[in-house]
Amino acid sequence: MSTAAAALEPAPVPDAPAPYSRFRLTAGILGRTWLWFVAGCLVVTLVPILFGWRPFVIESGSMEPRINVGDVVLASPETDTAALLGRVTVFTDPGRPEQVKSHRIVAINPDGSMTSKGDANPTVDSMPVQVSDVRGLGRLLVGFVGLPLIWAQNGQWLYLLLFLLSMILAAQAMSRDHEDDIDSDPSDDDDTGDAQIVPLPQRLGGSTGSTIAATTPLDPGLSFRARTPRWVARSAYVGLLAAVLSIPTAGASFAATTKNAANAWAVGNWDYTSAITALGPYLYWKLDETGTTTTVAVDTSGNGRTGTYNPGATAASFTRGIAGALTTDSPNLAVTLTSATSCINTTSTTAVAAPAQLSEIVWFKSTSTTGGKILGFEQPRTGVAQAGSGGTYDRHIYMDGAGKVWFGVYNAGDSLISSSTALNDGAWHMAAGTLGTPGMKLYIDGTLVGTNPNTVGEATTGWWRAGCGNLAGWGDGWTGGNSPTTSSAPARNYPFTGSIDEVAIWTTVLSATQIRDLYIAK
Amino acid sequence: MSRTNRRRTVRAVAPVAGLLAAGLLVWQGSYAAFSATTNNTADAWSTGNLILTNNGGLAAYAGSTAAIFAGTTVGQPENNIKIGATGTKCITVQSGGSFAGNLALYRGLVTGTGSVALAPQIGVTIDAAPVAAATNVASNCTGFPAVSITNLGTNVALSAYPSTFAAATPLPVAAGTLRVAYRITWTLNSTGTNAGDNLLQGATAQADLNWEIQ
Repeated sequence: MSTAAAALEPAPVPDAPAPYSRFRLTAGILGRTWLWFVAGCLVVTLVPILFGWRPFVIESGSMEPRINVGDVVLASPETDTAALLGRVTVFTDPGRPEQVKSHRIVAINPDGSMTSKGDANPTVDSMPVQVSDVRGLGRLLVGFVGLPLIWAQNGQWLYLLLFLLSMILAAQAMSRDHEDDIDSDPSDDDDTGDAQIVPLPQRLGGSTGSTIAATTPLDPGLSFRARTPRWVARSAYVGLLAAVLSIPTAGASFAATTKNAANAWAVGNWDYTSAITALGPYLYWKLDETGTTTTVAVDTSGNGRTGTYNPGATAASFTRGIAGALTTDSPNLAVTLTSATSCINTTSTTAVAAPAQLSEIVWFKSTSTTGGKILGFEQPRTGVAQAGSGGTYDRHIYMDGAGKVWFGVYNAGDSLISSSTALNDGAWHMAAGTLGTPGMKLYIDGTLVGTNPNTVGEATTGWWRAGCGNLAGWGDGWTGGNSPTTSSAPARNYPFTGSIDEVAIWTTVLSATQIRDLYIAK
Repeated sequence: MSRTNRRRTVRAVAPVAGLLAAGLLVWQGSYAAFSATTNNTADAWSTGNLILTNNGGLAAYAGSTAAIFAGTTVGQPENNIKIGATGTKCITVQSGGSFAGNLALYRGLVTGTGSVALAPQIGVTIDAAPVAAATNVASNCTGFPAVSITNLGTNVALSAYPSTFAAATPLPVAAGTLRVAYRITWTLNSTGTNAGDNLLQGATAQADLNWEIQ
């Protein structure tokens, strides 16, 4: 027995009752009541554990005034959301899985999760509680019992010390009182009722505890009985305290939320046609015509620069109304050139000056290995003529025998840009060429693939055409077969074998962003 | 009965009284807190609370919650946007309460329509700065402070922006009524390919902006 313990328990003096002291008696009763009160709270806190309930010390005050910091909530297992509705529930904080929260369930969501709220909070908790998060339904509230734990957590050692001191004083007062009253008949036990608390040491004291408990009532007031191994009772009491100190904590955090609801962003339903017309094209042949003998290719630019399917009256020259390049267009139609003479020429017979600032865009689809002219500015209006003998042809987009696409401009020599890859893959592609002050640029599918510093094209007059035309002399860099040479065939048509859609011409230079946006609006 | 026995009887009251008091404490507390009939509709403000409101970007602080980014409304800057489009708006949040806490901005559930998700392409840059309690920074950002700015993300995809209080960057705020202005800049980022951007056509993204103080 330690010296300290001895101080709390003066040795009994069997045959010489100490002088009667009313003060000692009152102090002893008060001390005993206090210790019993504390013990009762501890027992109530801990006994439900036997039934699978879990205690939680409340750490913060968002459930005030009903549940205060330092209270212990005893929660029973519960997974029925209907039973939890409106009730204080202990659950793992969905936002912070390392924390346990004790809030009230205020609503059950359609997806089966629950909405929780602290009574003292103005708004509900931001994250829904899942059934799997629930630790238990609040059943019993033991006031203040968890305060020593809170004090210990917060470093409020003074409070903790005062509390412990009160216990020691109570024990001491009891001991002093008892000195007055050492009974000659130790078998006369005034505390028989204590036996009711027998299960307690069984849980707390392990094997020794259970033995003792079976024979010895536990007096939390450190009762004096010479035959009782007092250290057991004392250990049990300390064990109780320790057990309470090990109760997990549950936050009931103060929180408030505000919401700026339903912020939205909407990407434009970019319509290619209106995107083109918004850029003010010089001409815009959508090639949406149907029918086998249609000759007019409508100009959607509003400038009346119609085209002519040539030879339009021949059903074998074109397959009109095929699925076009624009997935969002309605109707989304295009035309396939089906003969070696098929072409779409400007209808007007009046030649126009070749534009100095220029953008031309055309969609094409081909598996050709012979190449051909897709779009260009040419003299004469229809058919072909030898360069220098009435024929001029530049500012054109054409495909070579290997499927690469070129943009060529004549300025005392051929200024060329080509795509790095073959595009005769049978898929729709968008080719865009620009010429002007910034030089020459070629874009494929909205991405710049090459530039050329030349800023000037051939000074001439002529007409726009798509799908056919002379390429003689434009063999520089040509890959694959059917290379055009001036010498062997100075006036030869190089028809494009494939499909064409959405021909658009500007007399301005479109920016890279404008061309990219056109492509992504397809 | 001897004096000793009388004292002993008196003493026997102590355990009973102690246990009774303990039982009463438990019963009374449990009844108040857990009885099924407990009224939980009224908020209890007995000891303290936290309050949070926002101005919805409006010119006068009235606790509005109207969205500041109104992409569903034709003519608004967030409607009919293209790749590279950008915009900036501000909103003021007011906290009040008896505790200091941490204020965090996080997004709500992202919803949207379209063949591909738009939210990953909406990049948001968010700055927060405390303003005087009487200052109202409206959606046009006039009066947004030039100092004491906390960056809460730079061009972070809306879909990747923190969606919980725990994940958001906390901004310590003191007790009492005070305001924090938030400046939110958005950009419609390219997917990196024109074909990918093409798929964004007509896509919409929608998300609440939530502020929480704890």
